[in-house]
Amino acid sequence: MFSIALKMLFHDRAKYLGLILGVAFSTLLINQQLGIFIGLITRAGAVIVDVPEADIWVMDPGVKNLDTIFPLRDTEIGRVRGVPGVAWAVPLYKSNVTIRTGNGELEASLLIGVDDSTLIGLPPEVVMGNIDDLRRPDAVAVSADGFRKVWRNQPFSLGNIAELNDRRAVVVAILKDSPKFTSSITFFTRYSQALQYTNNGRNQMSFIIGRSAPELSPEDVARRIVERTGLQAMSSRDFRWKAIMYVVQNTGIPISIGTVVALGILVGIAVVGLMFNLFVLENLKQFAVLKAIGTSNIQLLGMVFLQACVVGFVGFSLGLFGATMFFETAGKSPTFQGFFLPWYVAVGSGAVAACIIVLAALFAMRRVLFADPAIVFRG
Amino acid sequence: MHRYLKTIFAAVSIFGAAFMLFYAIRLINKNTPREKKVEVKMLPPTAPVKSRSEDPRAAAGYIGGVGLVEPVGEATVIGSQLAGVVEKVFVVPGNSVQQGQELLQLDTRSALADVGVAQAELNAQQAKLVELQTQIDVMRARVDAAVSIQDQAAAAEANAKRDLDRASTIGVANALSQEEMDTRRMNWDTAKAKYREAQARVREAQANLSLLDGKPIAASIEVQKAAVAEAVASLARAQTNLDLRTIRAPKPGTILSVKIRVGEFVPASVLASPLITMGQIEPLHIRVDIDESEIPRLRPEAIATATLRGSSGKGVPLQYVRTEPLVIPKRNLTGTVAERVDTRVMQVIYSVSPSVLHATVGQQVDVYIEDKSNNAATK
Repeated sequence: MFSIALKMLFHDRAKYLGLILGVAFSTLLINQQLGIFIGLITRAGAVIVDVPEADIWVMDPGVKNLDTIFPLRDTEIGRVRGVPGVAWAVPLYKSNVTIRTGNGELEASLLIGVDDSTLIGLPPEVVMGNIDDLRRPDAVAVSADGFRKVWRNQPFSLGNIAELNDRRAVVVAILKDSPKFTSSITFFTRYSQALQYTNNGRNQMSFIIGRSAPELSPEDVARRIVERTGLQAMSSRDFRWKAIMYVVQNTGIPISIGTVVALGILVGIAVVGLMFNLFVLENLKQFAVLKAIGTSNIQLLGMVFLQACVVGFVGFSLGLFGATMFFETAGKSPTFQGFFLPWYVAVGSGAVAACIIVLAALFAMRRVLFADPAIVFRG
Repeated sequence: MHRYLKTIFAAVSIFGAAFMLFYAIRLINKNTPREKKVEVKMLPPTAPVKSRSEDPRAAAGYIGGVGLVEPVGEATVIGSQLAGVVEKVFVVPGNSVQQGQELLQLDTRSALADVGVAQAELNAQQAKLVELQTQIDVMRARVDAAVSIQDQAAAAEANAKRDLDRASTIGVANALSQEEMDTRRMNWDTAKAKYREAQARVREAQANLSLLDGKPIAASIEVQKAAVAEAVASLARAQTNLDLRTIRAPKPGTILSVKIRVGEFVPASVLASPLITMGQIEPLHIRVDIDESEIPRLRPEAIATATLRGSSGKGVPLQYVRTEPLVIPKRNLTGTVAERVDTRVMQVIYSVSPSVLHATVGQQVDVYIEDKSNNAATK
């Protein structure tokens, strides 16, 4: 019985291809757009992701994201360290500096200053060099993307000299960091060195990053810090979420990408629904024959459902394959770093594809159920 | 044949879809960034995590502060009372010196010449005094001579009187002429006058003697003695002037820095960079800045520990010495600029043996002071 259903399905190759392309296109669109969306908004919290050692971030109560910073007083680090449950806390400096590239162009770049003694705050992945060399005078580490941008068409090498605010900076390491919204050039250096590069105020400490004691959750410790110091403190997970939500609430990214996704779903439903309906309509005679020779309605519905499932499976696989290939090939470009297809998007798009198929199948089943065996004879 | 192809098409499309789905899942799995749980390679020294969890009192919390290692009673800055060119430097940094030990010597030539002049003056005045004292004998002899002349005059006067008396007795009988009588009277008068002259000579000689040998005051000797005393004083002044050109240690201690070299000019004023800094570094003192908001939580008897920057592990226990009674604006110790930030700090002095805390003067340490206030106990 089901082999008949499959034969019916594969018999009309044009319709079959149309059906799977409809599902595939819809899946591709949803996955590709949502993947980009998630890759984009997670950039808002990239600096937090790059400091996996710390699970607590402390900042001025007015700070809403990572780009608008109000520096803290230097004594606050002592107060934060004094809060019970804080295993350790170190300062983190973050600011923007303008840098002149090798060919004289100006680029905005991010300057991160990490704790002098422990170098906590650097991204863990080292492409080249040794981060301990940051203890040398005028030493900086640069992000891999930043290196490509500042020293265009040069292979990775150490010892290159840049000028940050008219001060010498020697590259001693190249690190892989998460891509940021504002700039892909990131320099990492010691906290004290960072202050020398941007000597522009009395209060300099952008953030205090810390770690909660092993037996306590970072959220609890962060709450205690808020109580004791009056500063804003949150776990890195919360802070990252807050930075992402800031982008979601304050930019047009969610609306524009959401529209494309909705269109994808709509097109999927329309194409697949109509195609499937046509397909069933065309094969109505066959169904009528089957009905005439005594096939029950349940069996007929099962057949339609099987056909829909095959179409959905093949179409979804094709679409997902396309989307992953897109991220795979595009991800090789250095300007397209940090985009990936999260598994939950793939699963979600699978659910959407299933919905499309079920909707289309339900729509078509109506005709099968009410098919009159007599139509076979009416020619 | 045709059906055969159809079966192959169906199989290919389904198995192809299955393969693509499998491949897509693998790509998703590969490209999804892992949330790496990075362990801290080097614990910040400011975090006595271990001592905290082991210490049952840890629940009370800590006050954190930045401490500056300094000599007992702060560093002594050596200056010069006199301006001049440096001739010799006797110490190098690290030397330990006793009180009064020579540190450096200025050019002494003019001061030595002054001493020579004063010495010669003293010698001259002393010689004069000796000369005066030897004149006493001369004067005595003169007095004796005058006395003997007086005696002679007295004898002559007595003789003249006797002559006159004899003549008067005889004269009654007009045995002698009036001329004879007058001559004898005149002789007596002359003898009387000579006697008075001799008396005056005696007084003169005596007065001359008393200038040198008078009781209770011998005026000329006193004058000369005063002149000698003045010469002694001016020699002492010249000597002091010479001594001031050798700068000596005001107290026992260790030389911390020497910022002066032979041939350089030393002004007699307060200098921005002191010539020589010295201090007592056994035991070391640690000056801890406590933020004004933490002052109420500080107790002198609280246990305090210090950790060196750049070294992890347990802190070194400190002994409380005193609390500075003056709360001062915080100097930014962590940055390069010595600017003040808008907060005040109370400075607490702790002492520690250099054999326990291997720190050098001027080094910054992170200090944790146990919070014993009731406020913390309730939390």
